[in-house]
Amino acid sequence: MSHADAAADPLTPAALQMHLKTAVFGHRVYFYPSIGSTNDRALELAAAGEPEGSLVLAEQQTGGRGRRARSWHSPPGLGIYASLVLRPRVEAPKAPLFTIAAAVSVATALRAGGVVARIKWPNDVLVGTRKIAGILGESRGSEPEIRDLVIGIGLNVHQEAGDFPGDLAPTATSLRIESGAAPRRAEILAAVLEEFERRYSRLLRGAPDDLLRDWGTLSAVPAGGRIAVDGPDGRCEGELVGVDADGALLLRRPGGATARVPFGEIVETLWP
Amino acid sequence: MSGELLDNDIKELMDYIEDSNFVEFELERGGFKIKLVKKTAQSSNGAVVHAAAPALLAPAGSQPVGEAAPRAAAESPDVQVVKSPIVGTFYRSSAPGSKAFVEVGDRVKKGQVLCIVEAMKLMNEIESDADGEILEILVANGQPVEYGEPLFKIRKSAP
Repeated sequence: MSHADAAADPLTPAALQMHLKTAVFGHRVYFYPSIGSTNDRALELAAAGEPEGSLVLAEQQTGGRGRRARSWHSPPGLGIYASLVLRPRVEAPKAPLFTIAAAVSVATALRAGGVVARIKWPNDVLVGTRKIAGILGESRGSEPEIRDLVIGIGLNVHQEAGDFPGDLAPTATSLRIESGAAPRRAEILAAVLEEFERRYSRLLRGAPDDLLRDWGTLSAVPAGGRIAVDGPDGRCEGELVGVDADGALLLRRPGGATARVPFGEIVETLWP
Repeated sequence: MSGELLDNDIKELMDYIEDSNFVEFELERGGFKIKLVKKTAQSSNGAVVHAAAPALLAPAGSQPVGEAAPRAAAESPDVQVVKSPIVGTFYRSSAPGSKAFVEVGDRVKKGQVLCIVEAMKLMNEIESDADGEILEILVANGQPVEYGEPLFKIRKSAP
């Protein structure tokens, strides 16, 4: 079904342009029918001086990556595989906010299309308990500022339950599964880029408040929900309080003290 | 922190002073006194030069030290310390099982990737900002690192 879908729902530079409402993001597109990893290509381009806003787009990734060598299943024509080149002149500690902004932008764009997407800290996009999109940010530079930043977005669109490999089947979903409709990839990517460009400019102007508020609103775990986090000091359990201005997770520990987890992963939701 | 300064607090203070315009900073709390003096002479693009770091002086009761004693005093000025620009997890290779970016003794070029520090799924590739040789790798793979924590010592090549 995949090739038929790609023909019926093209995601080419021309198709994207038809829907694009951004000022800069996505106006230069490097398009590949098949590529190892869009993030790798975007990093190469960034290193060679590519201007901000350029997009690497592929119909298929043969080596789609998540963090630390986890793969991102990227069959031809079924998903959106895109990486954006950015050049924010910010100090490295602020850089994670851009990956969070990307996750919030994807979730917001999906919600505008009627799919109730939420975010699992820090930046997985879920529908219910299943992952629909992932964000991988990679930056390069010598301290204190980052020079090149690449934000990769992998979004499952046309997959049906049987299209996910066995290990992903219980934990992955797609827009087609969630909406029952026939989503248009170019429209969705254009909406994500528009949302992300707006949030990105606000972050550059030093205004993270609305991003953090929206992130909290979109959280897959409600405030007060009990979770276990694998952070720098190992496993930590508590009730979710929220996130602070650097994107760190705040947990109320059983004794009442507040723990701040600067980075890590939610490994378990204990309640609800 | 409850009246008592912890190592991490001191480190945060040092980073704060380093980034600020203060040259000197003194704090007394309980039985504890700390004085931080920034060595300002080092003004080149020395953010990563260890000697530019504030010097941590003695606790209360001991003799105040008049001059800043840079932590890297024993090092020659051609030794560059690469510090973490971010709180995160330190990785020596691009993925588990793959070859480390650098080993002790390797010659590196300015712009070469030395390691990754990950935070919030943002992989920060840290580059060398000098040509030289890796003298020491100060953190083990997979360990959490603090903002400003030294990661590598590099002996800079003669220009």
